Amino acid sequence: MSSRSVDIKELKAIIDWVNVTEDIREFSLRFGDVELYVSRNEHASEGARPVPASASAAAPAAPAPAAAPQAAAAPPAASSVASSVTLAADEVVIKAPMVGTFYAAPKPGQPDFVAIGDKVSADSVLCIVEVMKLMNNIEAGVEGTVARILVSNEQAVQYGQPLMVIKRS
Amino acid sequence: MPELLKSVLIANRGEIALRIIRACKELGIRSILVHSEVDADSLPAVLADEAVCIGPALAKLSYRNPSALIGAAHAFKAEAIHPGYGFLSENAEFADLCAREGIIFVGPAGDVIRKMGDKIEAKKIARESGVPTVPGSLGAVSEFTEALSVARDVGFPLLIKAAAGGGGRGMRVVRALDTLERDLSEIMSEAEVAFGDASVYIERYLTDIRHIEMQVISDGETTLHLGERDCTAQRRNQKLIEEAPSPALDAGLRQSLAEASVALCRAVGYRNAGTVEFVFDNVERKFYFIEMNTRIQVEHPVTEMVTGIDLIKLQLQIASGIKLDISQRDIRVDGHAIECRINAENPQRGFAPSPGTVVSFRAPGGFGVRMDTHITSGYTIPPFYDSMVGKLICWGKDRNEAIARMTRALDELVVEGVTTTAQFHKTILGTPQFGSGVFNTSFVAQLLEGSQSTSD
Repeated sequence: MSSRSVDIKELKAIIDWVNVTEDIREFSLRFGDVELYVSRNEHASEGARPVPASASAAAPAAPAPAAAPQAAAAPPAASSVASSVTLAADEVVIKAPMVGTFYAAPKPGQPDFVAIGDKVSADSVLCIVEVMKLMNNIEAGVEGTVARILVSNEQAVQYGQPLMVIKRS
Repeated sequence: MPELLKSVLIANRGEIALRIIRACKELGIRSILVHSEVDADSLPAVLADEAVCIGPALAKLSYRNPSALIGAAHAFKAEAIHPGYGFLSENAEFADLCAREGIIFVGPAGDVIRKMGDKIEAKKIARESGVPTVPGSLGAVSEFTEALSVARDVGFPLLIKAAAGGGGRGMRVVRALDTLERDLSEIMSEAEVAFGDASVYIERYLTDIRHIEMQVISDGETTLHLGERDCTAQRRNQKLIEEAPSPALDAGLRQSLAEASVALCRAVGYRNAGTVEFVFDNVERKFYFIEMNTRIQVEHPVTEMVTGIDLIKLQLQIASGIKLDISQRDIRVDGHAIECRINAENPQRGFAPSPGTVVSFRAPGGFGVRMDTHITSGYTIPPFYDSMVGKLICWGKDRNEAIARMTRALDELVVEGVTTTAQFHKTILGTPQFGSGVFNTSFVAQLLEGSQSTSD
């Protein structure tokens, strides 16, 4: 087995796959020093509780940078953080992968990374979430246009908080 | 005079998070609770002034994640972090990190946590401050002749433990001097063969013991003691019932215990609430220092109930740089208090954790009854964290009244949907032995063995 570390693209692909695979409720993976845990349970590891009747009610509260399109139009689970976002079928929400401060631009005084209506590709940087002076570039992960920006510059954001909505092309 | 903190980030969950939020509210401090995804709907998240999700359920990625905690403190503008107990509360590196990041850590300085967290170092400091420690070697001894001379001074029975051993391997109890030389040489050569290291620890083997601890508080200049707690009712080193005062101490022993604890705090420049733990030998009626906990403890309400002093508020005031405005004369222990830890565990199945949804919850009430809990009807106990769902604390004018009140309160308590240890507490309290106050740390284990043999 290879001892190289997993890269962010592979992690994203795994999370996307877990999100679209409806029969996975909880998923954990250990790869070197990377640990990944994804749960779509409203209260994780609660196997005894009946599955909600409508498929949309089981929308992933997963810590995924990009929710799968299957989750479209589903109200976020009660335990999901911050404001709820209603999505159209072709929209994807970009969530904060960590708690920190949101920056719309690379540096103060410079233009914002993106504005509403901008075309983006999967590797386009949308914003920065800063934690302990570490600037984390947040990429779109999908190709499309920026439909909504849900937070303002220098705003404190929670883990999993919706930051932007991208309309897939 | 320094001003009281304006905002505190609470880096914990469950009942202790709620306890800290309540103290913050009464002091007018803005409380910022950080929580994992599964705790988003918890009572602390509802009652805090602000609730911030910092990561997924796994504690390593949320409650134990230093960068998420510091990141949240900066982004949401918290002046201080209260770590509660467990998680990062006794992590010296985290305390150092807070200091570097300009955030007040509600606790002692990193180097004090480090000293007290190192058992050998702590024992050394205790001996230098004249605090009695369990007779034995200070650290590992690798030379046979030195080990023999240490063992001769320790007294019998004594315990020899291979320094590199563990899990009961490489351990032997020596009962008398005539077998000492043979036992010691055997265990050292066995250790050499098995672990490649002949070094051993030698310690007096104490069996008839109680666990007694002293609550202290210090602002760095004034160090006060707030009486002892007796935590002898344990199961596998897990405390079940704590009480204050201890039924085993007299005024003289209590005073020496208090003086020893204060001396130790002064020796390390301690600042914060803290607990100095001792074993008390029932046979010789002597106490020995084992360790110091540099955090607020689970059982702190027992002390609060008999002294009327809010320990969390004092922690927050001290962290603000405000000096203690009470002196030793103001501290008076009044009556008796008992705490039962209510765990979601099944005593019938070897205390297996019993997570699930609390269908219905009713807290007991009335004079002298306090229930510190974060559970509510409909609350789901997540399987990721510890199984304690609450603490029931009862005060009485004396020990008998406290026991009667606790028994009555346990009857009133309803936690439907999950199995708890509440009824097991009633069994313990109802035994003549607990009632007499004369027991040791094996008492609960013996009670469990007895109930097993009668039901077979």
